[in-house]
Amino acid sequence: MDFFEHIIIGSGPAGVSAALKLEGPNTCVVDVANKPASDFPYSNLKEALASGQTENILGNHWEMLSNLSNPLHCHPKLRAQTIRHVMQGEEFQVTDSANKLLVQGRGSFAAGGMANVWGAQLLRYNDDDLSEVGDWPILASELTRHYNDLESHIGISGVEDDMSPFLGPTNDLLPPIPGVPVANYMLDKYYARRSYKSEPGLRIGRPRLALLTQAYNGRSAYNFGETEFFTPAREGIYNPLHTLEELLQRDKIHYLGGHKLISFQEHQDYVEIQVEVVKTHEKKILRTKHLLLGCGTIQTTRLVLLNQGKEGLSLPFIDHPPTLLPVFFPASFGSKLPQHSYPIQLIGTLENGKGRDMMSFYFPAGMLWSDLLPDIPLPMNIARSVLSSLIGGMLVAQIWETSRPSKGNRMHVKTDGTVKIEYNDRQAYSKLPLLLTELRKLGGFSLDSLASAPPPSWGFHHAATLPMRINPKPFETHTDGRLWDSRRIRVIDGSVLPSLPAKNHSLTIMANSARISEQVKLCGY
Amino acid sequence: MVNKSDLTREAEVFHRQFFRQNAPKEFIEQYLDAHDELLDLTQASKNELRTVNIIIKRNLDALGIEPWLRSGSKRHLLSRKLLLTAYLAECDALHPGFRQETHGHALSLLYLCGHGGLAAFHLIKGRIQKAYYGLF
Repeated sequence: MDFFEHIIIGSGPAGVSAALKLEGPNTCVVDVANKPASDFPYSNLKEALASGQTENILGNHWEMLSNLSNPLHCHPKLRAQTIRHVMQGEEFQVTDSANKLLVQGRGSFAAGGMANVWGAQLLRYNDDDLSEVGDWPILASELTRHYNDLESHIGISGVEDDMSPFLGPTNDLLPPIPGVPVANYMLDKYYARRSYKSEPGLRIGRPRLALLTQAYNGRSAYNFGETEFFTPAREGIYNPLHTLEELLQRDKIHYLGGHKLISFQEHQDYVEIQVEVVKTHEKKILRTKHLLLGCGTIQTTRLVLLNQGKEGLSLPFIDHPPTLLPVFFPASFGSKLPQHSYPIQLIGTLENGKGRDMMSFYFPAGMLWSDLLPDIPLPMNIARSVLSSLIGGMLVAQIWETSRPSKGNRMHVKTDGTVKIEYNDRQAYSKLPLLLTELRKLGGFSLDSLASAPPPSWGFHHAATLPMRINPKPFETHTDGRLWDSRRIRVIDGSVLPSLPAKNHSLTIMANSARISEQVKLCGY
Repeated sequence: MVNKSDLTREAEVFHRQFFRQNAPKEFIEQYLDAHDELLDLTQASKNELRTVNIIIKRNLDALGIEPWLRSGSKRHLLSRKLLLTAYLAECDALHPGFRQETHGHALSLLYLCGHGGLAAFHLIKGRIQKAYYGLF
């Protein structure tokens, strides 16, 4: 029987961060490891459209049209044929207070996890974030060293600018991504205004992205081919798969791809786990001194609940449901479209009002224009023509606020093993009128009627189901990741984050996983 | 079972209204193929089917009517078919009616003003037709 010092479940951001910290001959990563069935055969979207090969763009089975009836059926980034493998994990449903189905989703069994489709914004939490959101039993400073190590490993592009106090310190940054004309216009207006007004209402700056603008650590720079909606994260955008492959090449870990965790049982001196070979359904038993669960919030929590025989027990669940707002900059209408670009162009935060928020300003490059037609309240043929004029002067703001557990937002596992999430409590973005005012000062115009609110779980910022506590109760975790009554089983993914500041949590999941993994090394047993 | 000749006529009508040109043969083939495979294009209420049938039969202003049929989270059958038309044209490298290109600032402002008038015309016409023929 195979016996390891450490077994890590999952090869997403949490799992791979743990593998990096615990690398060695006695560490094993167990991973379902779905991979794409095919590749997107173009290096950039313009080339794809010029090819005229409809099936390569829309899919052999019209996969890109899966939102024809219901625009919320599938996240736009998850439709493409070459991305479908990312969402083949455990099923979940999200309902509202009237038990109306909002989302029918699936977790990820993909090698690399949800990072295959992330926007690559890797941001630190700082003390202001954690004190504002509350409920964290650790300090941001306990993550600093791990943030430093991860950023050095990954390579972060960006620039020290007005958003630096919000984003926190960082290591050496690679050059920022190229700005599109409308983003450069907005930034220029911001700096011009800031020179005579000391306290901006809306603070903006360049994003920090796990995206290589030059070769780094043996990896090539990103080609900015605008293929983000058609292919998983490519060379140049950090994907935990890159780290996993490097560890495997250097023979630094064992890897059991194509294996799925079924159950686990803790004994005095080890944990025994049962895994299933995905292709053959053969069952295997492995033993380990320490088990680290990093399957993603929904899937890890499901495993823990099923293992305890607690179907029906509901646990807190949080997400970062965003508000989306298209913003138009008339001065940039008709701008020549860039040859190369990346969607996330700027980030910002409103300084006024209560509570922190964060907004990412996206340029709609990399999307088919037909995707945008239904959102324009005009006949579609005219909307298509109007897009030619508008799109060069358009950004879409995606806005997050702090997210805390609340009574109406819960997750449980049904008797058939599927996951149900009730998401009853959702606050509308409270600072929209203020944001609209501040945007007008920067030459950007929008209306509150244009704001939309995608359903909860849309962005996969899931957390808080097994929150870290100083003194954990059942279905909570110790600050070293251990389940409440366990010595040897730890949770290393978003499940343990007790609340979410108004920032992406990806880098913090990785840093926290590294911190917990370090505790495993130091635990002495 | 989807009637191929009805669908062919539908493809021709929608394409002509969208792009003011006849539909290329490949477009029609892909339009039919999509209907073979996508339930979203065939599963519809009686009202939706009737609406599409009347629009095609009487060559009504599909693009002017469609915005008035938008409501709720589920798209009307007409919206789905017009979207399909747009997607197919966008993916056709040789399609003259669909290019991802821009016109420069001054020309864009002129286009926006011009299209404002055209949009109003189509929307008013569509509204009247929708009411007159009882389309839902």
